[in-house]
Amino acid sequence: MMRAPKAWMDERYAASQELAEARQEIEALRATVAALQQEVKRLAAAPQEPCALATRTAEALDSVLQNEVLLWQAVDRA
Amino acid sequence: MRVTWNGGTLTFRLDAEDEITGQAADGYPVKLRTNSCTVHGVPADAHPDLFAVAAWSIVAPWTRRRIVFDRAISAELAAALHEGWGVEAGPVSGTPRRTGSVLAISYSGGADSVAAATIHPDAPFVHFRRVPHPRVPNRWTHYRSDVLAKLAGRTGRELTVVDSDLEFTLAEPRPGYPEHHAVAAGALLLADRMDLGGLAFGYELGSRWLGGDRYLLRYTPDNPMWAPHGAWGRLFAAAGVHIVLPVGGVSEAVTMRLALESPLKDVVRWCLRGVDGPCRTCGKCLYKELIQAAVERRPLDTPITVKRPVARKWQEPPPYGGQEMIEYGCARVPGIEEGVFGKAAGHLRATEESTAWLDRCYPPALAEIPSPWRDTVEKFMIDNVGLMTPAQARRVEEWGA
Ligand SMILES: [Zn+2]
Repeated sequence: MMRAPKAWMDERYAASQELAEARQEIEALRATVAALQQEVKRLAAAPQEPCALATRTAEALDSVLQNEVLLWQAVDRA
Repeated sequence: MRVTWNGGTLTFRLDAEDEITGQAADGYPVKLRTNSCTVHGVPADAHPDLFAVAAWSIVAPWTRRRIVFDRAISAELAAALHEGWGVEAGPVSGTPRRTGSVLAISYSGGADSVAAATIHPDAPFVHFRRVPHPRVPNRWTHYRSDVLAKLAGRTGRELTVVDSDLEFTLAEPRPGYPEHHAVAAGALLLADRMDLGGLAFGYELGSRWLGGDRYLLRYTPDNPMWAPHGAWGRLFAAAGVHIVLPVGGVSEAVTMRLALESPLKDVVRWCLRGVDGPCRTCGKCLYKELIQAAVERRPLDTPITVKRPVARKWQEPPPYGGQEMIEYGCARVPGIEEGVFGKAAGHLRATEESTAWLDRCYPPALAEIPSPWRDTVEKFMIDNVGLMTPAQARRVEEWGA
């Protein structure tokens, strides 16, 4: 009789683990973006590799949007 | 996959088995950027199957096993999705859309679609115009969709411009159509309004029969994207909008010639970058210049040197994408041994005789045009191009073998 609730609990737990991991990833990303912002400020004074910087910013932004999609996927699964 | 239309805004959610990196119908890996986009000017009362096919042209690469639409689709459309892709689609109820009577042209402004337009002088145009996505910073400002739309407006044809940001759902390789058919999303949604029974695309012999561009380089009678009996052909037909390829039997040399002789010749533009004219420096401009020079029987006129990155692939041995046209050009452009295509010409060793089949129409391409428009295309090809001999048709059928 306990089997069904246990499976349900396990699933909920796995889902919440995934959410926690995704949250961690977002936090890390937030830190990266903040660091990038600092770098932009620093380089604005002495522009060295604006192209490389633009590319990195673009990549960071893309992964923010992709993470959002993955988060919704996790939410729907939970 | 679950999709929801709110007016013209499509939002989709991935199921557990769906992934960010998927595959388009040509096998090319595509990476998702974001899960919403808008097709502007969409009538709210379009048939549910039209909404479904438009959505499928955007989400297909990332859908593995099933798709749930926000409005019920016909059993016929669900069957086409199941047979074509093995996906369970629903909910199912209602009747399929009745095929209309009008043929519209999905008009890009390039030589191929101008040639298609020339064959059907009364067909209205639907032009897809890229607009920015509210959530994706536009880093591709060199892409001048405004210029292309303006040129489309100067054709004098009945024209519907459909604005959409759907290309930004794609992160890699770059913004673009998730499936080639997404260019038709707007036309599909307008199909009831325009009474569409067919939609003509400018895909030519290379794309339809030779697995051109990023697809396999071999004879492809069962091309999943453009054969009427392929997955996409059957899906469009189920929604009452048949795929029509008026120039599916002729090469880019023929479409180039037809475009340059067409009343629309002054508005032809295959380059997506230039403002006052083609940029002349991108890879596409170089490729098209080779074809145009061959058609006009003159030396290559390009600022591009062998040192430029866009010329790099021509310094390598074949195979090349669109190789039949490289052979055609190398066989006909005077002085080709010097310059950008010199190395390629040396490898290919093509002659006018070995490439003569590219000046004629492949007859099976006429047979697969839906009957309401077949006679028009057939007559045009016989009068203006000529049909391939059986030996020439075999060149198509042995391509890449
Ligand atoms: Zn160009």
